[in-house]
Amino acid sequence: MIYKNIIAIAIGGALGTIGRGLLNMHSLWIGLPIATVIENIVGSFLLGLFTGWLIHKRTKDWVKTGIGVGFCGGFTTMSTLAADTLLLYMDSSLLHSFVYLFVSLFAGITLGFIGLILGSKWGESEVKRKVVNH
Amino acid sequence: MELVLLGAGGAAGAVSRYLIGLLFMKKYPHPYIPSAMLIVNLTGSLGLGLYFGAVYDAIPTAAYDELLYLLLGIGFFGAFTTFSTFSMELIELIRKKFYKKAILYFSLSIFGSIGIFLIGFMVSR
Repeated sequence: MIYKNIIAIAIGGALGTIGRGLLNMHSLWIGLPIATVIENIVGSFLLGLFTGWLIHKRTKDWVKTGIGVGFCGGFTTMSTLAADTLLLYMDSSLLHSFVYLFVSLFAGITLGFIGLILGSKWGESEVKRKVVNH
Repeated sequence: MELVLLGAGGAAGAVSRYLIGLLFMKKYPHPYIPSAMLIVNLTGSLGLGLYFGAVYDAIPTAAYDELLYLLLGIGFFGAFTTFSTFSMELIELIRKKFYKKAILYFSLSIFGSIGIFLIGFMVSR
């Protein structure tokens, strides 16, 4: 049981990390660490969507952990956020550092919440459809 | 090669986060705030700070051509720590109207991660 979860998390984590790494590498030309902001916002939205959906729907444990712990967890990051915040302060200005942190947090948490609501409605409508069909 | 290193570091980071989370929840099933991911984020940020200080002597703007950075910096520490679970746990606290807990969890996660990253960076530099 736990081994299935571990394999799913390893695969999900690898995919999420590869996605994050590629986005980081291909956005270097912008000159600002904007990729991590986007990854954290999108990842929070996706995890919200999935968590909301799971309120009404059931799925296998390894699917849950693979997507949630593995992919969404690996796609988003806290350590790079900490590093970027300090890097912007040292290399740029306190204002840039503050904006970076504020946008990450505000948009990440807001989009996470919107994802949760949308996911819950999505799961609910799937359950209703199933009830109608039977 | 880059993708293999990112994938390997990311898989190891995510699995470690899961196992530490499981162990923590087994030992402390009812923490005051969601502490498992808090501890993971703090240790991972400390690790990245130590790594940056030891290897680069400064926080690099771009080290993506270095394979060790892909494996450890972006891969392992990047995936070991997480932002999406932090968002979910914070939203959950706010939804339950545990505002004091939410502020504590938020502050410790964010200012704690930044602070401990800086400590790690200074110590190993």
